[in-house]
Amino acid sequence: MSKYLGIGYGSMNFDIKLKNPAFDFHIIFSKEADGLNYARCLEFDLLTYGKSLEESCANLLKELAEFIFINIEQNTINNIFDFTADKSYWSEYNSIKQKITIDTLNKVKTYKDNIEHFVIVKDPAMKIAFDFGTVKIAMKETWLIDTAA
Amino acid sequence: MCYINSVSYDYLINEIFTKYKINYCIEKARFADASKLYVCSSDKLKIRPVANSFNDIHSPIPQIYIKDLFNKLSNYQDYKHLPFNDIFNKINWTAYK
Repeated sequence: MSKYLGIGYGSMNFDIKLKNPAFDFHIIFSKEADGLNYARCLEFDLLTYGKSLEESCANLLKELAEFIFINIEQNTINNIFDFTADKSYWSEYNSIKQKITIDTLNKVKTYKDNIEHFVIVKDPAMKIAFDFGTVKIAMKETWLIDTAA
Repeated sequence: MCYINSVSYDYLINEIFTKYKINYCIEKARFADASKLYVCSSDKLKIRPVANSFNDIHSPIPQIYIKDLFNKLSNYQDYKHLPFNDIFNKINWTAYK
């Protein structure tokens, strides 16, 4: 049984000719019955895990960088959107997103839900970014359900 | 941390990928001092990274990840004919501490 921990998004910017030269990618964090933390990128349905949420996120960003690099190398970069995550994950992402309101400074402004509260993650591991010449991958914002609330 | 119900990378390769003719390759990871396992298509293109990068081929992959991987592979033209439910149920799961 999945327990969703929160959501986040990051950006990719390409200096090479692509159908989508810049886009955001979306992540959903969960804790599963085995006690591990999982991070899933919805655009490519990439899943990684870690002992902590921060570790799962850091592993996912490395995975994204590897995934992009490999697809550039083997000239399949325009196919990377062919395998998006199941719509149930997108629904869950949107459900969590609807519970938070973000002002123009990208700060959590209000809570719409009295049960679940959200915190902005400031852990440096969440700010990991890759820049390997043709592509920049960076985490932008992460909102976690504050389990202590 | 205890990985309950896991398989190792070498088990996945030797007992599943090889047995069911799922093409794979192992490469040096570009962004970590580790190795990376990929599932490849029939024409040898890398189509899916498998689990996290690893340093030890005996290290564990959690059961939930394997289930997710099989779900994905069952949608690929090259592998959709494979009986992934049966394969999953026959895995000799191990606990790692």
